[in-house]
Order: sequence, then structure tokens, then C-alpha cells
Amino acid sequence: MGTNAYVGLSIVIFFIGVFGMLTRRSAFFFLMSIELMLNAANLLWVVFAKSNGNLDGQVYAFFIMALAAAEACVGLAIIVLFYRKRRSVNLDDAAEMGK
Amino acid sequence: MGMNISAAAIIGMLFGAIAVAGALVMLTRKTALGGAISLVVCFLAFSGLYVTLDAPFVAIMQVIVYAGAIMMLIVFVIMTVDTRAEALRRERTTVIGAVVAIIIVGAGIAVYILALHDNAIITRGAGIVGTIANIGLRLFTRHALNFEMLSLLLLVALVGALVLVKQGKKKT
Repeated sequence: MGTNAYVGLSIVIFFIGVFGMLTRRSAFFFLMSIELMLNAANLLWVVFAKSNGNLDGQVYAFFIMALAAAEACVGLAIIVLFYRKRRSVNLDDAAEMGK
Repeated sequence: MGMNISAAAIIGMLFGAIAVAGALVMLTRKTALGGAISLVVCFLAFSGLYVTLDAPFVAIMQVIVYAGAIMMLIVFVIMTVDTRAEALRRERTTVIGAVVAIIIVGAGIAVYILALHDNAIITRGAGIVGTIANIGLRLFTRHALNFEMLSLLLLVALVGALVLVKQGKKKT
């Protein structure tokens, strides 16, 4: 598997994530699609770290993982808060919050 | 195509296929819990991909942080929230959105299949394996400031999540 194959794989995974984000209405699927897209980006860091022959890309992949942990932490807190207010985790209900 | 496919290439293709399958299964699940479980499969396949890319440290972190901590957190919250009503609700999928997504994913799959024949990564310079020792050396010298800022970010996220959830409880 060469660099291009890994890049193609990353594209496929990333756009499956985009598709999930645009179509699913559940906040959980939204969050999981974001995680999927972050993973696709992570894969690219590691692939190009290997093709460039240094480790900085792998270190940044590790940073992105910690960033994803922080993002999931706050995102889930917001979901819990929204569920307490509206008894729903549907993003269509969240769209009407400002009205 | 396929003159001398190495074992690493075959393993990479296998894990790549599992990752794509896991992601697609995640999208088609009705319940959030089913989606989370198939996403764990996808993340574990990513861990296998990192091993084929000489990145054992990132592979370990993928299992511990993604498949372990983050997905555990998501499953935990799914179980505290009643999603039965959500599962019955119809999903809103526009035709044009589906068509665009299928075209883009199809193009990605085409790139993937076309690129399978060049079966080696051309490495510039000496290839270094990302073992824990090598990554740790890099992490605490060149990226020490980034590392400290990241620990601060995690602390802020932790406190922020706590404050958010507690605040909501006080009001209701």
C-alpha cells in the first residue's frame, strides 16, 4: 500500500464522516461523524510523517487525539445539558433554540 | 498491479477495508449505541493501519484514547439519555446531498483502487520508527511547549464540562 492508497483511504473515511454529519439528525451521530473526520486527518499526518522520514507528524497525530478527547468531553456535556432542557437529542430541535 | 505485494501492504488493505466497512455500518445504524459499537471497530482498524505505517506509539494511543476513552464516554452518555424516541424518528436526507456524497465517496474509492498498484511508500531520508522512546524524546524537547499547552487545554475542557453540567442541574 503506497502513499496514494492511504490518501485515498483517508478521503473515503473523511467524506463518510461529512455524509454522516449532513444526513443524520441525532447529536450522537453528529459527534461520532466528527470523530471519524478527525481520524481521517490523523491518518494523513502519520502517512506523511512516514514518507518524509521524521516523527513530527506522529507527534501531531498524538496532539490531535488529545484535542479530540477535549472536544468529545465538552460536546457530550452540551448534549446532556440540551437533553435536560428539551428531553431530546435531535439537532432539528436545537435549530429552534434561538426563536 | 500486484508484482510483489508485501505482507505489510496486504495487512494495510485488510485494515483499510475494515475501517471503511465500520464507518459505513456506523452511518446505517438506527440506534446511537449500534453506531458507537461499529465506530469502535473502525477505530481499532485505524490502529492496525498505524502499525503498518511504523507508528506503534500512535497505534497504542488510538486504542487507549479513541477506542477506549472517547468511545467509552460516548457510550456512557448514550446510556444516560433516552434515545428510543429518536430512533423512531425519520431521518431527513435530501436527494442532492446523497448524490453529492455518493459521487465524492466514489471518487475517493476510485483513487484508493487506482493507487493500490504502487505498493511501497517512498521514504525521504532514513525512516524512523515511532516507538515510545523516540516519540517521547521528540515530545519533551521540540514540542515541550505544545505538550504543556495541550495539558492545559484538557484541564480547561474537564472543568468546562463539569461547570456546564452542574449549572444545568441547579436551574432545573
